[in-house]
Amino acid sequence: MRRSSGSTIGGIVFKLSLKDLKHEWILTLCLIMAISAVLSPLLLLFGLKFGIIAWARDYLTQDPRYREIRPLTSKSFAPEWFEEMEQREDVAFIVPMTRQISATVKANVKGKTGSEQFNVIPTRPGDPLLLENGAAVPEPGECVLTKFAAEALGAAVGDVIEASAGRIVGSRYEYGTLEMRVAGILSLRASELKSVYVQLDILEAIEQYKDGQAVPELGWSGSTPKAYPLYDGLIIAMRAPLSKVEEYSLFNRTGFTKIETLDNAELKARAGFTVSSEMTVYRLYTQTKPAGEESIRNVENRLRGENAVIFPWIAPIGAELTDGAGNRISEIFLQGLSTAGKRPHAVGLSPAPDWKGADASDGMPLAVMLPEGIDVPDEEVFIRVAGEENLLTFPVSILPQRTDAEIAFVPERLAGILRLFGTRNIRYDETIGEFVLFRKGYAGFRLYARSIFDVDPLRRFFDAQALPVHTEINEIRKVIELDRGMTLIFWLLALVGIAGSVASLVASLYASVERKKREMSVLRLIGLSGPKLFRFPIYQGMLIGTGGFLASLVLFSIFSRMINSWFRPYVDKLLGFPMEAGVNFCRLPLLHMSIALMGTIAISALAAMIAAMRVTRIEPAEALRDE
Amino acid sequence: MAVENAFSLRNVVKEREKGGNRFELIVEEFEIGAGEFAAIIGASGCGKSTLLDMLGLALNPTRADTFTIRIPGRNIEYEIMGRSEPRLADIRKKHIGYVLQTGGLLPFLTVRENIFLPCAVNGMAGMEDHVDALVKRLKIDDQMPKKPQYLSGGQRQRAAIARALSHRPPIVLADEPTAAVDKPTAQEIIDNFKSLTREMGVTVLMVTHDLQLVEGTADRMFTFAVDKKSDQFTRSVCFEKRGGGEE
Repeated sequence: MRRSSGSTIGGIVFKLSLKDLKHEWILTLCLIMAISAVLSPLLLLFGLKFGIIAWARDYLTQDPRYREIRPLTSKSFAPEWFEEMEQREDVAFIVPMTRQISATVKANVKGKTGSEQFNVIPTRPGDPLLLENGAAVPEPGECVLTKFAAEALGAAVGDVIEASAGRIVGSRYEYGTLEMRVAGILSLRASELKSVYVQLDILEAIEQYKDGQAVPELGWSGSTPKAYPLYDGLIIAMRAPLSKVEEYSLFNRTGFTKIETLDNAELKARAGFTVSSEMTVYRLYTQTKPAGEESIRNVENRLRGENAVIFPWIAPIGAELTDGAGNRISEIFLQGLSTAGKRPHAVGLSPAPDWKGADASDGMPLAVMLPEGIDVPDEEVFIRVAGEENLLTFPVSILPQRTDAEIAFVPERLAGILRLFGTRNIRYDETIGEFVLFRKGYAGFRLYARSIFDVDPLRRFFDAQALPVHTEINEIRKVIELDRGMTLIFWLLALVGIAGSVASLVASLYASVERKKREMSVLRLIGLSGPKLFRFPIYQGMLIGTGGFLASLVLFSIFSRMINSWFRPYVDKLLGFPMEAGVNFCRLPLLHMSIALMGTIAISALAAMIAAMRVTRIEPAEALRDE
Repeated sequence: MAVENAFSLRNVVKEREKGGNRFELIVEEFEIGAGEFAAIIGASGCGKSTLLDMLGLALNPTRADTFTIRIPGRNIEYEIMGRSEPRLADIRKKHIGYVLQTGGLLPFLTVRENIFLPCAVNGMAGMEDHVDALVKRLKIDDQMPKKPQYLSGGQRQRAAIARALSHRPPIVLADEPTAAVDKPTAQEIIDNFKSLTREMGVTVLMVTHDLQLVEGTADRMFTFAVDKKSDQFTRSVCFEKRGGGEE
């Protein structure tokens, strides 16, 4: 033993403990084997825990079937609602769904006979049901089939299928067809239904077609859903007042609910215009939902022969007058006022906009009569109205006439359409020069919670919104219980293993110290104090522990390879699809191995403490007296 | 010039009790000069090992008026009473070499490693020449790479002597160093031991039951007067044996 000036007593004690282990190598090997006999199964247990058990746990807890939430009732869900839901931490995926009744197609493999009826289900990138069940999300022009759908069609990945959406127009059947390439076939785990997964726009097109509308993108003919006017009430100007009975008849089953008389000042305040003071003016209005053209016709019919002049009325709508670049020229409030067929001079209407010179579309000029004081550039201008969900912008021509009121007037029908914009989505179609309706919302959704633990909180969230949903909460409870049970069993086994290792180490090292009592006392006599020799069994424990761990690692490596190669075919068969290449049944990541090594060394050192305490009680005199 | 005392003990008492039997060792006056070769002789159970334990700082006396160790030539004096075990361990490490009955060599080290162990523990480098000279004198230079188990009894004792002297301690304690060897070998070992320690100026305290071995060799001899007071109590008094004194 040589000690350079740099080496410490601790270093000497370490070398002594190492040399002692080397000297008694057979006994050391036995101790290492004893430790490894306990550690190896423990490492395999950990390997299985981080391999197949973790995989199975994730497989169960992340199974999209358990994470799916579906609404039980149809409701209109706006696109903004979906955007909000996507932002939630507990939502992994959501895609809108159309009405169930509109989501079926007949399909067959191109070139093969025999077609089948399928549910069409929307998907989009990130769909866990597809991604975790062996299929990619379909690109445009592609679809993914469920296992049973593929079986029914005799379709394979890469085949082209022809799908047709049917509708009855009058007494005639019409079909809109499209071709899609089969991009993937889902495992049975995903669904036991015959379904085809397509991008949302395809499903929207099918629904649109089934509703009788045209889908130009797919070359499917049909109607265009034109916007229609809605009104908040009517202004009626009459030469003679109505009797109470006549008044009653105007709101009895006409679509209006109230009637009131207005003087000219009130009329100006309400509608922005006035009539001759000789006229009696009534305001007929609704209290809940707005009235349509049918209601106006009802009133016209009841006032036939009374020389009444009827002005459909809407509450003022805030809008912006913009230039072609979208820059605001002025903020305006719009109301409707038309003069056609109303004998404006006879009733003393003021102002009396003349829409004849304005551009007309479908008999409705897109023009505005602005209040005085608004400067308009000599270029094309637009009106922009903000709805609940989007903006409606359309070109207008400016009447040379101006009004002294603060209100800007547009033709009554245009005003009625702008009123409709408050409840429906409308866009101005420049190609046909008309206002057309487009989708306001979606009837349902497919939602996947981030994990099964998020399902119940989401269910409560939807309940609070009076939206009953279907969840697999009972199945989830079973999975959670199973997971808890497996974790408990694992830790119990691990605890027994660790206790065994500790007991084995304590017994071995204590016995070793007892056998080496004489050597210890000689070392103490030579001048190594008790606290310094305390380290001797600690170092030995750590060395034996490390040796035991390394031996266990060799055994683990051999057995884990055997497990990984032997059991994979059985599990693949059980799952119905091959597990991902990276999944190992028994594996210990490097980090976990390092933690296990550190843990073994720490536990060995702790176990050696008992032996070390014994060392401190060995007297140096025992070296002399034992002779 | 007067010789310095390496050990000075006055009225040192050690009381022990084991299995209901009490033993009391009394050392009234005990002095060993620096560089002297002292022998402690006596029959089994007289207390010579207990005395050696105390002198070797491996056992604390029950009480003492004086118990000092003086390191010759270094002007260091240690009062032993009341010192803690780590401090005693430090004195043992630096200043005392031990030769045990059967060598006391560590079986897991080679002879060389055993001999160098005190040097290593004391952080002493450059002791190779000294140790080489020692092992040559003790005729074990060819045994250095071996483990102690492959050495004869005599070789083991010589290796133990080399270890005790390797770090040049001023004091060496030897406990029956020749008990396990035959008479001629024992005499050779003792002669070698004495000549070596004399040359190095080491104070030696040797316990033996063999008076013949040390008679004429030891500078001083101590022995014991054992008084069995009762079945349960024995008192032993250590005294210096001068000119044919009886034990």
